[in-house]
Amino acid sequence: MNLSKPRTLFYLFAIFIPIIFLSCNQPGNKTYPSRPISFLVPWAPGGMTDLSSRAMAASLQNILGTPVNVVNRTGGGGVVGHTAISQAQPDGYTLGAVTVEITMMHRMGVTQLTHQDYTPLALMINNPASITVRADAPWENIDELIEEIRNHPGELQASGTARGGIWDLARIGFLEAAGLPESAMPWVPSQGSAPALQELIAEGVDVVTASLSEVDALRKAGQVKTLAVMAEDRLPQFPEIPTLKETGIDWSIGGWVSICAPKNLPAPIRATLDSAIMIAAKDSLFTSSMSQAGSNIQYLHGEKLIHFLTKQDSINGAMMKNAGIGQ
Amino acid sequence: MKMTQTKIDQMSGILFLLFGIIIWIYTRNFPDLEEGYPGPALFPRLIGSGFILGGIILVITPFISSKVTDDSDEKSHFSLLNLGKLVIGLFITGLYPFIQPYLGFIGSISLIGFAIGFLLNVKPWLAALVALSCTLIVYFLFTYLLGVPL
Amino acid sequence: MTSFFSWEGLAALMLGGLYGSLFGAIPGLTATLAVALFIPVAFFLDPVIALPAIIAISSVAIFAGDVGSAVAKIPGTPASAAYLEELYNLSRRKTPLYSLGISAMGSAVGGMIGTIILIISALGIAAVARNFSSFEYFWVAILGLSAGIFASGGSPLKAFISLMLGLLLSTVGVDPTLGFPRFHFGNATLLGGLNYIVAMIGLFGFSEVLENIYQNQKGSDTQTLTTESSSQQFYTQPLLLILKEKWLVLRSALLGILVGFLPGAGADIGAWVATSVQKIKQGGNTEKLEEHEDEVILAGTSSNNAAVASAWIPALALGLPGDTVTAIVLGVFLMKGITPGPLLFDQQPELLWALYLTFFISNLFLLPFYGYLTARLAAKLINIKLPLLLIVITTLCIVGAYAINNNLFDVWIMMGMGLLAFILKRGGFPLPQVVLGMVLGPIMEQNFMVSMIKSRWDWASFFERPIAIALMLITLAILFFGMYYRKKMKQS
Repeated sequence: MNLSKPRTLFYLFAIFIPIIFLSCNQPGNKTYPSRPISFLVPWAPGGMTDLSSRAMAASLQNILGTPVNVVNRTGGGGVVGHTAISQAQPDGYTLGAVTVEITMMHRMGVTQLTHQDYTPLALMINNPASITVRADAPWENIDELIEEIRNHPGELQASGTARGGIWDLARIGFLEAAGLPESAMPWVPSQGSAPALQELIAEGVDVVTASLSEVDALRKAGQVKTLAVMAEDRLPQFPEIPTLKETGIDWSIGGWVSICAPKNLPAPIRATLDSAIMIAAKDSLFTSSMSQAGSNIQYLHGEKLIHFLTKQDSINGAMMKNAGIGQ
Repeated sequence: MKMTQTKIDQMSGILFLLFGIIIWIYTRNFPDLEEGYPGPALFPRLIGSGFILGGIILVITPFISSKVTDDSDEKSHFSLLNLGKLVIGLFITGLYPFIQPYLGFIGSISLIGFAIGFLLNVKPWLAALVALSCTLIVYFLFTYLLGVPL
Repeated sequence: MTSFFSWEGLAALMLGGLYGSLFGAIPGLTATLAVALFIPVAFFLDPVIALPAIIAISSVAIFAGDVGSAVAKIPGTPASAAYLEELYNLSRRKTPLYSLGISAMGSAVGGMIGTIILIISALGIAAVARNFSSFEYFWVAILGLSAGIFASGGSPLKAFISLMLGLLLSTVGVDPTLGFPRFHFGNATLLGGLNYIVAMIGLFGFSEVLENIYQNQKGSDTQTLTTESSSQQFYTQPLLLILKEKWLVLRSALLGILVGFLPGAGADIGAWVATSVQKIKQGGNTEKLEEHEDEVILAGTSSNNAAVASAWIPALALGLPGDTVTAIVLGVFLMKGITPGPLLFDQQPELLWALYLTFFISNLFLLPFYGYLTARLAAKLINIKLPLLLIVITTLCIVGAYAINNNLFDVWIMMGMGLLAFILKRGGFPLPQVVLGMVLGPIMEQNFMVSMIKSRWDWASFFERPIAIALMLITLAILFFGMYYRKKMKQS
């Protein structure tokens, strides 16, 4: 190793210096958007967040006339991806999917991030939790299931995601609203809805509280049946499934996906994105693929969205506190 | 420094033994499940016990087995200079996350490739050429053909 | 509906194969990523076209994972890690055309066997897959571990310690029961756990770079391989070997199907079990090891691809995605209004036949075709002087580690793994077992804890279900025969 040789240094400079200058990102003064946009997804490919983000990105790409690349930045139960979105340059070239977990992560003590660290643009989808059992289970409706839980507390087990995850909160809230203690139907942690459903049909657990869109494939395949959905109103794609509210249990919860940009996004860029997303959310490419997949589109923006996020944060926070999850 | 395979085994045995104990100490503050069942600490502790057991067997095997293992295989080529080079190599590669945001992908990767080639005693012009062409190929392949942004 | 036998259909197959071979061969790019990037395209395609393209991508990508092993000693999948040494050595000793020929032809034959079984017994397999609960998963993970102990030619004790190290690495991050963060040292990336592909790139690829820097090679004194490469070495010789070792291939393929139809890491564990059975049969006989390298590769590779076909069964027949690739496919299906489930077999026969046909075409034509092209390329690459090749490997290591999660911190993790491998090599500890441990760790811990919570800490529940008991018995058999043959070899 002899860097002292003048020739070596010459090569070094002659070859690398121009490249370095060329490859540096030069901020242009062109109108937004003038280069590809990255759309960060904090969850793995194939999941609901990923699929809806990809459908949205495909629509946005046509509307904005610039490539919108979906990048999965997974890890840490969503912490890594959410952090990456909030820490990106607020120049409109990095957007991301911020999911319901943003209201929960900061209470688990794994991150300081809250929804206030972003510029919220729009709510894309909101999938209510369901109460799903095996197709051959003896309960025909939600009342029979509650009766069973009441008579034999602690015997039935539920699953759907990790302990303290969104579907666990759904279970806790459901039991609470039905006047039952949390231990009446204990939680079996799983790595997500797919393994939980595998457990369900293998007769490992009795109830899964994942969203309707997640159980839809198995429901159509005739392996499971859904007794109720935890929504305010019946879902347009599933008019036959009653809500919990109808049976007198006032409880609704859902897993939602919103589009956010880093904090302090300049107003003109925000306006461009706002109108583009508004068109994309009504684009048939997005709407038809979402409704086919059983996903519930709920479009909110502006003040309404901020109100929604704040409310979600306090509701989920209270739930976690009651259940003794997190700090 | 001359080392036989038996000695290396015994030394690594002691290291793994200590490692297992450290895991046990580290996991002592992990929480338990409800009703006092072992939770997050169970698995690391089982693994730690595996290290302790494996380490002990590694240490004592040479004493109890009468058979002489092939001690002829001496691993002696240890040199401080080479170790230094190794550290430099690690250091250079480790710079990537620091310099990538400033120099971009092409600049930082080709610089590191060049430096590694230099460490491997490749002629400078050749190292630069290979590093640069490789970087460009990778860049175009990823960005334009495969659609993976870098 | 567009017909499967149209220009679009064939073009989709060919392009899918090309895409898959590139993604499989480049470290850090995986079949999952290839399929995920394909989603926006799939939105606009007819399912009869989109589905074959995805199958072509994933089956060619799994073979192409071996190309990285042959050239740069970086396996593309944990399955390739099972026979990494053999493949790398054989490529250097003979030619990549021969070693990758075995890999491609073995994959093709194994894949064919897998497809035939898939066609005969799709619904039967689905019925078994339906009954897989956390107990069965746990035993499969244990089976994989016991296979890992004997899959290295060397000391079982050292293989065990390497496995333990892999298991430990897999516990980094959020714990599966309480969500308690372990061993993260305040770092957000570590909180997400260590990615085994990043680890593989570091353990195998980057450690080779470190090794050569340490050995301080002179730039000129590297051997240049002057190997003749002919298509005979790729097609004829491996096929003759397969004919000669037909029972080995059949056994490995069946093992692959048996272990592999369960969702998730099935294909990887299948390859490990098949490789390890072959090695147990050969015994710890180190002297003749070189002559039998090709058989070990054959065992691993044929079981690996046999599992690919059967991994689709739970997704199609039950609507349960096994791995990320089938999860994505299922998502695309639903968006297209296709319903998975037993009804699919009645209502959409043309889709099902397109699926079967694609498996046949992928194995009969795409694997040999793209296999040959990539092997030729590998033969060229392997002739590059080692120091120059190492520059390329360094580049690929960094890019690969970064690309898998788009996370710069992963580059450091990759380096750390390289350093770990460098130290482990000094002590004679095998490296592939570390990867196996990392793959099996989460499966084992998650399913053990879930089983325990479910059964309220009733240990007997692990021994109550029939499939669980069968898996346990296979595990015991492997441990017993492994030990028995080792002893016998030592005495003789």
